[in-house]
Amino acid sequence: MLRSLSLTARVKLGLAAAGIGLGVAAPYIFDRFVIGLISLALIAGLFAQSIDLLGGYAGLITLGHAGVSGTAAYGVGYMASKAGAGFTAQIAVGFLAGMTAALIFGVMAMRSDGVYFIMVTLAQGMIVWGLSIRLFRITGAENGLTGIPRPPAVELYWQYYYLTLVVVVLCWALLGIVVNSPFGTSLKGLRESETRMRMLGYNTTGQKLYVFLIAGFFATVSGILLVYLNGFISPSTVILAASAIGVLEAILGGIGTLVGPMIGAFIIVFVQNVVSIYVSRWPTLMGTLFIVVVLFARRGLVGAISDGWNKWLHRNDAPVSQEPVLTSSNRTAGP
Amino acid sequence: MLVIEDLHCSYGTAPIIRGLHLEVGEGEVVSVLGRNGMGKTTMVRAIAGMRPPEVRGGAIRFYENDLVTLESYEVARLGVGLVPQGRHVFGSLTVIENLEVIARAPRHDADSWTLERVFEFFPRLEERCESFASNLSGGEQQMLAIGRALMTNPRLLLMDEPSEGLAPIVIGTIKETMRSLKGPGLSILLVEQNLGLALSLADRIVIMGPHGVIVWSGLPEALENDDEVKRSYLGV
Repeated sequence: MLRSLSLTARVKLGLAAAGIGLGVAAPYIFDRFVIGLISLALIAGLFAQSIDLLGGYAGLITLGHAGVSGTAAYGVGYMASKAGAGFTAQIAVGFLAGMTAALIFGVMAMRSDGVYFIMVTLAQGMIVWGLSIRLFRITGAENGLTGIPRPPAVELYWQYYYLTLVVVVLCWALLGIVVNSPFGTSLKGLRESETRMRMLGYNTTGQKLYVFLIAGFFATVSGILLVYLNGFISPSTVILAASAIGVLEAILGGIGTLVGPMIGAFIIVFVQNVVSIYVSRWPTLMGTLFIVVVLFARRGLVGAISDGWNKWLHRNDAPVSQEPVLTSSNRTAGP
Repeated sequence: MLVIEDLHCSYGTAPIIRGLHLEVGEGEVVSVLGRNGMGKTTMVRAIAGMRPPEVRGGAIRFYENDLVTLESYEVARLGVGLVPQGRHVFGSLTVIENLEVIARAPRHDADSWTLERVFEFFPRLEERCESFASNLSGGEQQMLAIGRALMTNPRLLLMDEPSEGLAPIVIGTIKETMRSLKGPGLSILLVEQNLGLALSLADRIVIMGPHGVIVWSGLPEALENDDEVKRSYLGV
């Protein structure tokens, strides 16, 4: 079977297998600190993937996505630390809270596009942040909610790491199905031109709500994973920067791919947490990294790698056709 | 099937079309000719439900529906397939994705359009099926735009200047394909600047004058022999 695949497909398959193998072996190799960071990066990666489903595939850049994942996390946190409910109830309420936020935000945003979509989602994220500070009885305001224990079966750090790994890989596979389905293709059509999709018979308003709900589901999963990882939730989880970093991770790794946001998330989580031990001005380093990527790799690291790979693969051929770069000019041209 | 009655359209406060009457019959190919700025594209946009232009008055009836009140996606679902001016294919999608993105089968009969049938019509598209549409030539993009519109299973095909910017030899290919498209199940409203293409395809030709008013209507043969009309309205 392997022989029938192209070299590129076999390399991809090999990398995926190596990635999963490394993921399974990680607790035997790395210490508790690194495993905690990998867990965090996996969750951040899932969050960035759900942003990329909206931004990279459908062309709907959101700056309020942490509002959705954060609402889910607050749902869990409230049930755990204030209501003292069991784990099933905690997770159920977390899902309900996250999906309700996604539904409300989706209905609010589905009639806008472009810059207006960004502004609407930005406002939504700010509303959640504002509420997290104001609703003291529910959110604990600036103090946040503490004392959110993990379920006993995944209490230890490595147990929770494996749970995170399984859930994230599963979600990744589901996202892969979504983006490769006809619905996924229609999202790319929406990214290029909403007018064109409408004149071909697509109710793009409904389409935007669906994709918002699907992205909201994966953001909700990431929010629930995050709150149990930290055992704590505070307004800093839902600030604008939390949403923005998700977008930046997707851009850094490569928008319009699923592996890109994950790679971006690993880079940012490790730069934030490891490099900051040695360098006090790590945000400067991050900023420089972004500028380099935006200047020299328009489609992110994954785009640069795949371009380089294709060049190497076709080094003896005539010039190869490349996937066109998504620019504002070809997005807005015509109907 | 399509009846436009006393249509008035404007962009903002600027009126473009003042009283357009036009009819397209079942299975008929009607070609709209006219100089630049007469309102041809405005008419196409109004029929397709695209805004702007704002429709200030009149009616666009398609079978029993008034298209003026409908959204563009509703118009498309009723069976109006648009091949827009300038082609506007999805550049970052492959040829197959461009065709499949709107594939839908409201009519489950032998006449329904499938990927295979489009490829039969445009063998060139099958050869390039995995290419990104932005890498196609102008002629190939035009074929793709037509194929994409056909995939919506239209009853009326609205074509806005399909020959624009194409080499004469490519126009010839498109002309041949469109001639074989003509049939009982499909009406075509062809907006053109290219007189030759319109003359060879249309059952009936109308010429649009200033403010979207029809100034001449008749058979292609009649227009071909009427140098006076051609000179005064088309500048040829």
